[in-house]
Amino acid sequence: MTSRGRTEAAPEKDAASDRAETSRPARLRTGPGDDNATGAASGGRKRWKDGIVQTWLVAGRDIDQQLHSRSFLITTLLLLLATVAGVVIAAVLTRPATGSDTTTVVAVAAELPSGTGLADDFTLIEAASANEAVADVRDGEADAAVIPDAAGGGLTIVARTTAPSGLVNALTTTPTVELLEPDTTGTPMTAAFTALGFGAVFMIVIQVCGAGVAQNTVIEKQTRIVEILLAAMPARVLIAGKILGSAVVALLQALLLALVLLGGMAIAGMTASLAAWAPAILWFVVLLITGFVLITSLYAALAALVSRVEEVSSATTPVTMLVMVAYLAPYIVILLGDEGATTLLGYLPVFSTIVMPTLISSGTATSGEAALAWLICLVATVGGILVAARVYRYSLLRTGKKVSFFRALSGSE
Amino acid sequence: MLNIDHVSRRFGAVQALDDVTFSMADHGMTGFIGGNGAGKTTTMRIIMGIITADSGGVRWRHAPITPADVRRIGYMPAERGLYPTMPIGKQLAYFARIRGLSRQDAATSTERLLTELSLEHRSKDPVQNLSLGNQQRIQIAAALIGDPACLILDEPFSGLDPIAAETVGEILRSHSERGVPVLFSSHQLDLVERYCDHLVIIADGKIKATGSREGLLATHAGFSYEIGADDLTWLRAERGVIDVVPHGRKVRFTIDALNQDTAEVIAQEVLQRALGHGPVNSFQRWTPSLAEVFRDTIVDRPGEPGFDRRIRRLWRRPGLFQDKP
Repeated sequence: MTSRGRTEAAPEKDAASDRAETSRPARLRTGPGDDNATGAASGGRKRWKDGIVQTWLVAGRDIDQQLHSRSFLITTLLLLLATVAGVVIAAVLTRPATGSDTTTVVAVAAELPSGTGLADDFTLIEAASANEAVADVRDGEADAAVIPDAAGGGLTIVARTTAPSGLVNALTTTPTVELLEPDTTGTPMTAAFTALGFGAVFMIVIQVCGAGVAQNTVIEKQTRIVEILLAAMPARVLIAGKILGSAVVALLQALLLALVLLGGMAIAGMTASLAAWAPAILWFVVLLITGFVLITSLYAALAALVSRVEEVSSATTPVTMLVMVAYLAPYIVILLGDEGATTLLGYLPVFSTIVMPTLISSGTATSGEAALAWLICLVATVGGILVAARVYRYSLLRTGKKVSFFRALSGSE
Repeated sequence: MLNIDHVSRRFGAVQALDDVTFSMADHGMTGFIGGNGAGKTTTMRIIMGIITADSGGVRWRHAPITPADVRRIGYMPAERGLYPTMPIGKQLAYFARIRGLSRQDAATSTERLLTELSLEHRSKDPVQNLSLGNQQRIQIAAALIGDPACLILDEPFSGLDPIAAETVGEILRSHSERGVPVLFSSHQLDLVERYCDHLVIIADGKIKATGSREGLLATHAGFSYEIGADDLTWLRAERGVIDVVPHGRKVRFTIDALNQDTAEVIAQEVLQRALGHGPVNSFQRWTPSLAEVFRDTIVDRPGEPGFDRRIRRLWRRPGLFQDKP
């Protein structure tokens, strides 16, 4: 009674294990009458097509869920409001620098080329000589001195710490700028706060979109939906879809923020700031998405180790810590002015998301360096996805006790 | 036609499945029964390609099963749930689409299924807003979506109250009557007995019995009888009577005979003797319930290790044979 089918089954003895070795879709056939010769070629294409369709289905479902989630909508709205508020505050604070009437300029009027029209836009003080004009700047009586070059034609602006940008823009010829007391403390401060700002966006996007993946993974595991999913698709398609879905949402959120930020700056007339910030913000979006994918893969892998929603936060603590450190370390390192450490963090994946755009914004890094940082991050991300996919696959069906990360990675039972 | 051929699977030190071979009937409902950890879920997961066998394989319509075949099988995992906040219509359509249906077909199939379950007006509600009974229907619907060629259901009745279990049972029966073969596992043997046409019994990763329900019950009926009387202490010493076991207020005994006719003759003699001892309340040929067949099947048989120990335990049972110290 128990040996039904035993005699005829010998040739198929290893069918299932074979199916496992070659990964499931490799043996994909459309039906029992399928011809093997044509099946092999069209099977490969069909496998890819199926995989891509299913990845998009998983991603689409997660995106749909995220866009309908109240917490996501509220957080995004708050982020946008904070951005608008930031732009407005920045616009108000920077107004004196771009304005004309409060900047006092000292010059030897007789020596200025005609037609500069400084007196129309600025409070102009007459000085007896070039030396006296510089002395007025040093004493604080004027913000800047405008001195014609000895060779004639060019102009030099002498200022204490920074050249008033309004003045620089007002002159028809680009002037040489000489600073009496170049600022060595102000710039790190600005950069540190820039890093803090980028870090805040980074952290919020990851907390909202990335942690959602962890949550979803455990819900699927706890409810055993994952078995229905795994019956229909391989684990790597599932994790790819989840990462893609969350990355699309994160990209939408980041682009929306960047658009509001840059658009707001344009509307507020901060054209000089806009030109300086645009590359930094664009690099930030690129690095954010790449770093995001890395973090999200790790979130998914760690969450797959546990079986209950209550355990998610403790299981994902290592990633959460990493995100916190990545948020604070750039701020501290830049504030301390440690150039070596700053450069290192600028290339370290995840940290580079925050540090590199900051360096771009302060003019300390070039686009080439940012591209290198991105490549390094990309390599790390690909590695992260591979590790995550493996851990994910081996831990999804193990319920009850928490699965060890390294056992899952080694694929042991 | 689904065949499981010599499937073995080991988890660490545990041999979860050991040369499991059976075939699922083309029609009707097949009950897959076994205790906790017997290997039911592992077998079903291997059929669904969720985990892989160490050796052996699964055939679907006489060819090794493929992922495309698996997508034609409706599956319901044990201890299930659904996406709690996702509207049920969207959810069913999603499960249809990952199994390869087009957007249009998924929508049509979802609508038809919801109508069939009288839940068409709840399509936009999240699962968590439904009553428990309706959640169960949706759960079944997730396996039924997209006109599956076959249904594999892991514990579809677990955690259901009798009414909900009946609802689920009737839904499954109606599908099986429409020609969709069903394999379902269960602990609730009364439900299995009620709904299944065929049986597969598994214990410790080994298949212990397969066959039609009637066939299995008849095989296990043997030459056993049940008698109810005040004084049965003499029964043990009766010639031709073996395996005397108290069964509720009655006593079950088996007759050591080569065929039914001989057994019947001896049984009548036993009845006469009983009447001589006093009034007899009941006397009948014993037909086992599925639970009894199950118990009988999964324990060891003579010649197998452990059998003697079991017999000794039975003999030692207090109050069974009062005439012996």
